[in-house]
Amino acid sequence: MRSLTGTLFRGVIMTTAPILVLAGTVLYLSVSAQLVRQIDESLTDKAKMLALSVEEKQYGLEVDLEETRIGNMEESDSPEYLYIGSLEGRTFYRSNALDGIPIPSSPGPLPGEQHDWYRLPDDRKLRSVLFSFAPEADGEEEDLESIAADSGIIVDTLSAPGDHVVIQLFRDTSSHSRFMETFFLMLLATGLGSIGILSLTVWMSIKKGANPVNELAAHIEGISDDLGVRIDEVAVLKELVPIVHKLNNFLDKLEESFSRERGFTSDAAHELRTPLAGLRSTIEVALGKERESEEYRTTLVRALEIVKQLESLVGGLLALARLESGQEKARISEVNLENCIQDTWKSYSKIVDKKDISVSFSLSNGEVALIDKGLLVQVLEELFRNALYYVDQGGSVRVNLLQEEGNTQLRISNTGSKISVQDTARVFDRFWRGSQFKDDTGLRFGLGLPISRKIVEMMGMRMDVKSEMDGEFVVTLTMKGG
Amino acid sequence: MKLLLIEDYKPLRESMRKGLVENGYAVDSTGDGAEGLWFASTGEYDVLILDLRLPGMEGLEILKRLRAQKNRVHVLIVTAKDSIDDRVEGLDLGADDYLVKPFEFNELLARVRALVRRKYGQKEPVVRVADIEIDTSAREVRRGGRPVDLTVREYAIMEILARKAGRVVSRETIQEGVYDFASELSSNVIDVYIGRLRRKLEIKGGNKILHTKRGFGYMLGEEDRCGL
Repeated sequence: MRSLTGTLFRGVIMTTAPILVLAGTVLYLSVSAQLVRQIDESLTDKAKMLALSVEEKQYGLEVDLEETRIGNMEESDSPEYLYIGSLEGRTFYRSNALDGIPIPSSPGPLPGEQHDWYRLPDDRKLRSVLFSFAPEADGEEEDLESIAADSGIIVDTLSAPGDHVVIQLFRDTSSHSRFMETFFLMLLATGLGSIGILSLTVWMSIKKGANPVNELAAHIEGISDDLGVRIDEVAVLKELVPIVHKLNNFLDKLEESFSRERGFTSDAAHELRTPLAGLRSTIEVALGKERESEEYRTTLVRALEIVKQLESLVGGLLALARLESGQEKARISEVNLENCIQDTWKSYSKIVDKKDISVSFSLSNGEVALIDKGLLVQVLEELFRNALYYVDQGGSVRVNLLQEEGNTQLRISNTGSKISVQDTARVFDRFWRGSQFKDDTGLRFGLGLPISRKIVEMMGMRMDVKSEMDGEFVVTLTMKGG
Repeated sequence: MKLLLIEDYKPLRESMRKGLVENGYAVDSTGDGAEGLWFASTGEYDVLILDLRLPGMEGLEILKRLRAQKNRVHVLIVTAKDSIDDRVEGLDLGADDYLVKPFEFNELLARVRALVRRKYGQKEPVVRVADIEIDTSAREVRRGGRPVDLTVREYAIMEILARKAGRVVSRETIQEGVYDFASELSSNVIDVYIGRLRRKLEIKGGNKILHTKRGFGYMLGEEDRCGL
């Protein structure tokens, strides 16, 4: 697995090392070129000086080797060798060491100095400068015989007076090569040393720089066991703050979700345990002593009631689980709302007769909605049941179908609400029944409205509630588009 | 022995009440938390059986308020909340015992008996007064080794007198310990029960054990020990 430290380290080294190699190469080549240039300049100056020792006399060409001190030059630390000849390749003077070096020739005077590399048979490398020139004419009369006797003077003839003479001066560059080799080794050592020091420094810096990331990783690792842990946004690096902020937000949501699930499980367990306790207690008390058969019958009837309550509770829980997992699908069709509302209400009219309440309907004709009729009936039944259960003595229940901002709204309201404004939002919490709620029939679990809202949302509708203590409790279903 | 039962689930409340009454307890019961607090604050109970999730007022709030009032009633929490945190919180707030629903009814009875014993400072389930033995677990009474056959109500009165042996117990105290809040009683019903008890306990020519203190009440014990 790749590590951040390793990746950063490799990245820095892979970027820096080629730069160092390139810089070393450029430096090496520059120094080498500079040295060659210096050699060339020095050779040219020297060759030009040597050219002065070549004179055109009345008897021909004269090269005074004494003047050139060629002997000393050939034996110095950087030996130099000389060639003097005619344009057509006739040699006037040639150092012995130059055997095997091709003799220069040219059909006419050379345009300027020419520098070149040569290699001697003994593998020594030579740098040379070559140019042609017209020797200076010297009209002074000299004793030819005495000149001939002077071993330091070479006398020859030119093809024609004023002809150019070619001079080529060679220098052994072994010392230059040795210097460049040493320089290369120094550069290599410096480069390798630099890379080593750089690696160490970079590694330590990256390690130090990665510490906050490692600490963050350790923090995050610890979160798996405790969702309540949060990372201090002030303590992390500025660059990590957005990540930590997002992570903390994510943890908040996760914890809230887990807490809600735990609460639901706990509530569900509680709601199931209580009727179970009732069932068990009813049966155990009945079996506690011998009783008349009528008493056993009463006990069985009570037990059956509790079983029915449990059935209803389990049914509600399963319905909610199915809705939340998306297993339920709405079968949408065109539904006449007024007919649907009126048909559903019919089964509740008997309850109205028993209670001293007034009921009013305000439904527009022919209002059609694209919904699942079966599910709408289920929701309406729950809302009607609630309205009739909670309405106060002498109070009223109203059912209105109206158009609001282009949407169709169904409002079902009842007076005598026992839910405060602050508690209104909680009516959709599973198992919430409100502190004022008093019902010991065991048939109201606080699941009806959460289930109804899920159904409504599944059909693309919205459910809202409004309530005031001892005022009206209003449930509004909003169907988009009307 | 008088109990207060606060439980909002009616089928459970009714079955618990029935079972407790059949075991000789006087039981006041309610399904509302606020009403339960009123009962507990105004009445004299040996044990309070308390649910936690209640309409009107949460069970723990009732417990908190009772303890704030210095009410020392022994409280048995009976709830569906089964986590350790819930138990710790309940016990730390002053409950004496904790029972998780669903429970076996016999266990509930045993815990109630244990709390009653604790109230009267008794470790053993058998209460002895002179040659009378009252086994509060088996709900049996013997005198001189001879079993005494008592009805539930007679036993309940016997237990009240035995737990306060040697002391005068008023007619009202007996009545409160045997009958619940809603019972309508004729003024001499306790006298009738005491008469029956005396007949079952005492033998002709034997020592009197159940004494009437005219104008004050009744007392269980031997004459010399009672200072008579």
